[in-house]
Amino acid sequence: MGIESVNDIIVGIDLGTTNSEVAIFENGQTRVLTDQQGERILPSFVGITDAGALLVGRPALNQYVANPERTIKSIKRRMGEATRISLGKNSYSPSEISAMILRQLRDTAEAALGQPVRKAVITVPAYFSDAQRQATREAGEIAGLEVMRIINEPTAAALAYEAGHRGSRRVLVYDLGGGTFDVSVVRIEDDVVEVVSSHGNNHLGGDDFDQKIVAHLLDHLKQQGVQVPTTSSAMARIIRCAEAAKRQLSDHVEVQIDEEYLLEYKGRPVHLSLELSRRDYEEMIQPYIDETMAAVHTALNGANMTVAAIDEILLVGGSTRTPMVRERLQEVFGLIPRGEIDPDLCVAMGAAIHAGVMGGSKAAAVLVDVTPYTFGIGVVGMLDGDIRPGVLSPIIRKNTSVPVSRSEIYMTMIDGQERVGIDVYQGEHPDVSYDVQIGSFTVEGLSDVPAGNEIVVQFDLNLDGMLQVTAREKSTGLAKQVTIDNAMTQQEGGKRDVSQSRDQVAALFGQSNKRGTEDNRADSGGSAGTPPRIEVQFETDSVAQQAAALVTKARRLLDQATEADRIEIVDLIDAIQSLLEKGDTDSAALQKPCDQLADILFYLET
Amino acid sequence: MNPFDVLGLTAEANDAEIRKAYLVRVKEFSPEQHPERFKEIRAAFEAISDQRRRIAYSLFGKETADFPTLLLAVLRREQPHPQPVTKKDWLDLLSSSMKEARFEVPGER
Repeated sequence: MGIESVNDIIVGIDLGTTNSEVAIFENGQTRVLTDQQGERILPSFVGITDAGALLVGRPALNQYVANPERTIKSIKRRMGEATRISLGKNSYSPSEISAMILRQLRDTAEAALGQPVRKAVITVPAYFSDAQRQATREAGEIAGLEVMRIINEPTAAALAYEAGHRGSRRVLVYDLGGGTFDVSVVRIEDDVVEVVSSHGNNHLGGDDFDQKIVAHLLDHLKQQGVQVPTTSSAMARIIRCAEAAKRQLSDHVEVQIDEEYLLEYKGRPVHLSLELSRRDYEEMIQPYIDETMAAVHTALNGANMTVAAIDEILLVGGSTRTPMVRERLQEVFGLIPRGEIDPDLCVAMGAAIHAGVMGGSKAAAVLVDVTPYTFGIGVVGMLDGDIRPGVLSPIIRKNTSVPVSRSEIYMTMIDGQERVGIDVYQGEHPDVSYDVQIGSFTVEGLSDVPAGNEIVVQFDLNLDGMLQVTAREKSTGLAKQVTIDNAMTQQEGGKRDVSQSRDQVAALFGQSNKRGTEDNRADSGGSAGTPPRIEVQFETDSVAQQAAALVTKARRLLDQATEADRIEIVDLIDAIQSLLEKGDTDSAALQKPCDQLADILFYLET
Repeated sequence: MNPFDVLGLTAEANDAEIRKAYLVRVKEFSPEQHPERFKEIRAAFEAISDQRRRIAYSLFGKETADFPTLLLAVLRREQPHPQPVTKKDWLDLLSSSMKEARFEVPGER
């Protein structure tokens, strides 16, 4: 019988583009948890075997070359997008794929700790948008984790470094991961870790470096008249050897790339063989490095600091092993970047420290973080010498400490104005059409007074990046409030049920666990013995679930339908219901009425 | 509430003393455990963290909320179209005009 712990443990998770880790804080120390193979790093890869079993981590990475079309890498780069990614016979949202990685980490933690794990602090790049953060939170929920807090990666890293250091310093955290880049200026003083400013790019990382080498290798092959198909195992091998070359170039000035029998082209075998020097490689990635250095200066400006004010540089993320990164930073700051904590692990360790603080552990530092974006409303204002609508009036500015409440007073424009529209934006551009609109509402029933009626707009931004907006007529107190929690509603087709995704992911894990035990009982000869029945079961389950969701939606929209549509919808609902009740989950039979219903609903919604 | 009171200081406190008092209180009332108290402490710190802000505070105090209304009325007479003006715009305007006038502040470089 298992032991139920009274204290719910909170784990810290670094959900990375390339690698992910899970750590805990215990007895004043952080510990990165290892899986049964003793590995601390879980490659952020998800795949499906021929037989339909789920693979997460190293096994998925290993099958990548053989089965690139059934393997997903770097899902973090898609977080927050309203897209479906096909994997095997099904398709999943980026949150669902990330949930599979989180679920694996949760299993690792449960096995390592010998107790259930239900709570986590998860890190995201500081420059992640609200939608990306929300997608990450959703991934945690799908994986069966209560996400206690989302914290920023560079901040987590600073926490990990801070543990056990004294004194007051200003630190630049340079975090270059597999897919994202962040830079933060952090002030560490009297055990308070205070982020002063941060900046970054959500689509810049080691993956881009790989792509440059890949393009170089493809060019080389092209010169020999060889075209490599985009989704082939030859392409996957090229990507893999580009990655390997990149790593070697961190320690060597030159690398020999050899891939024999890469593919057969027009009946002859093609071998890839060439040398790549660090110098040539650095020329390829220079534009990216330049971009990161520009961001470093933006962050310094945001902090009102000069290069000379920085006492230390911390390197985070595997891509900071690139010698050019260190050289450039050293050149600009005249400091040797610190790297005594493994750049792959320090984010998870920092997340664990914060989890420890949340769980009530004494020790460790207090964290004060900032918002990386400006939030404001669109107003009539002056832009480029013209008075026009759609001008951003910032209420909470970039690099403001969170949590924070700010309010501004605005005036109505016309006499007897009855209503005022509040459009909420995230972004830095004075013209709102360049910013991201994250919400909108109207306050109606204002007093009949001359123009200049005062409207107080208050923004409350909490630690999770959730924004509450209140607009109030000052004279009467008439108010309207919205909470902007936008990512979920921005998903195409409306909010997807998290519990449904959770069951789906849990089902996949059930499958792979079954496979695991079978393999253990016999020999670990591979996945060939997986019973295909489970896959079929899962397929129909998923169609049945989709059908049920569709019926719910149809009922909701019934009121809006014309009489003719109504009859058709009701008939289709009945048809689907009776199939579901009979347990007739033959997917083809169910699919047809579902498709018809979906078509009608699509019309209704548009 | 008076920011000096929030931080437990007198109006004569200097930058270093204000920062120190802020840090002590943040450790006691962290954003994680006491978000509302933290907001108050942080707002107080930002209101008086440097000389320029302390001058603005001493000029307008906590009554600043009504200040833009007052000045907007003045502005309206000179501009053909009314436009939203925030308190911060006025403070920025004021501080830049102070700089232009080479407003000398005792103790500042």
